[in-house]
Amino acid sequence: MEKTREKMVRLLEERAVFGILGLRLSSGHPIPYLFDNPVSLKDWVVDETNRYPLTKILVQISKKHPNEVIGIVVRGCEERSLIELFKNHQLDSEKVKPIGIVCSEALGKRCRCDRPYPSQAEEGEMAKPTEDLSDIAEVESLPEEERFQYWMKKFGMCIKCYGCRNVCPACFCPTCTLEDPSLIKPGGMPPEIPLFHLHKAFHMADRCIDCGLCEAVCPMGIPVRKLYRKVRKSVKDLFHYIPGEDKDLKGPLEFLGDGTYELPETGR
Amino acid sequence: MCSGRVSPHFILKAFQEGADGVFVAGCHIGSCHYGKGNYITAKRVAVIKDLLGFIGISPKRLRLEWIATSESNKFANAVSDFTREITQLGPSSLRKASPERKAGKTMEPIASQP
Repeated sequence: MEKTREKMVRLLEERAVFGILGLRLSSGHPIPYLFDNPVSLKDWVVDETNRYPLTKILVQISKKHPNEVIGIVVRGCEERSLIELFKNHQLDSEKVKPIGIVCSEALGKRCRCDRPYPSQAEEGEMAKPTEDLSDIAEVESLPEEERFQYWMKKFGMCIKCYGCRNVCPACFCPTCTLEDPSLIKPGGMPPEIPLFHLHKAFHMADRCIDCGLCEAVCPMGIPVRKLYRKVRKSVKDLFHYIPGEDKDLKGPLEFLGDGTYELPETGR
Repeated sequence: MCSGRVSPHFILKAFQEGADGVFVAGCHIGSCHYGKGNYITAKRVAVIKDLLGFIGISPKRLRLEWIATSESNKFANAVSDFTREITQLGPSSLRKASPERKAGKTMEPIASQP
């Protein structure tokens, strides 16, 4: 990743950016860090096992420094999340300088990622996309009643830590449905299931960029990504829309419609 | 109330509270009182049906019909038909999962009433 590092050094030397958000090796652990001088970049690392919601951290930093251009090292999924954040006015695309890095073939496979590379990268080869929806198909192959039991068992483990929401780059609302007492009864564990998870799943439908952080962070191992991958697929099948692809295209569930999105068949 | 005001969360909440079926009726596409309110209804319901099916609640339990205010017969027929279908499907798995739930008594089909 030396070419990328050189580029980052150049950006900081030229003062083209205020800082660059990336991972820094600290006592053997890669942690998110805002590199603000070229010398500090010697500790910059690329890590394929530890993941952080970098773009979410960027939102916090740019709120503090709204007038500065900030660089950020992004993988394919993180770039998609940037696009969603631009679209939803959480970040200003003119104030963000993405520096792309590609994922290894192994990582792409492990994540079952359909685009394990950003639109631009200094070096490295693009890994082959993985089109693997077997996780969804597996659930769908179960008879209805078993499917219901499968999910109720999984959802029943929820400890309502809000980890999946807090880590999600597509979750940024100042008020959250999941904490609305008129929609979700406060207190109690597990929360109202499956309602709790369905509320979030609906919101994910035209926003989920399939980074999988939600599932990685869940302390109870609930396969929430599967649920979000399903709604993401629904939106793709119904409206031919893929979140995180085009920053000028609105999500079909965000607005009434202007006829450019095909209306699905109604009735039964 | 405009069908566009029917938040997806209301629909999901109804199922959680023990409803065996949810019927959403709106003005026909193209004759929305507010222009395009029903566009979003159509999109939402399609996604929720998929989501319900995926977690094991029959998507048949959610129905969307376009019914104008003047189409009282269509409304009555649609509701009867839907009620019949839900009666056939029986109580939803969600209600079976917690029988103590107060809401969600299965309604008798309108046709069987005197």
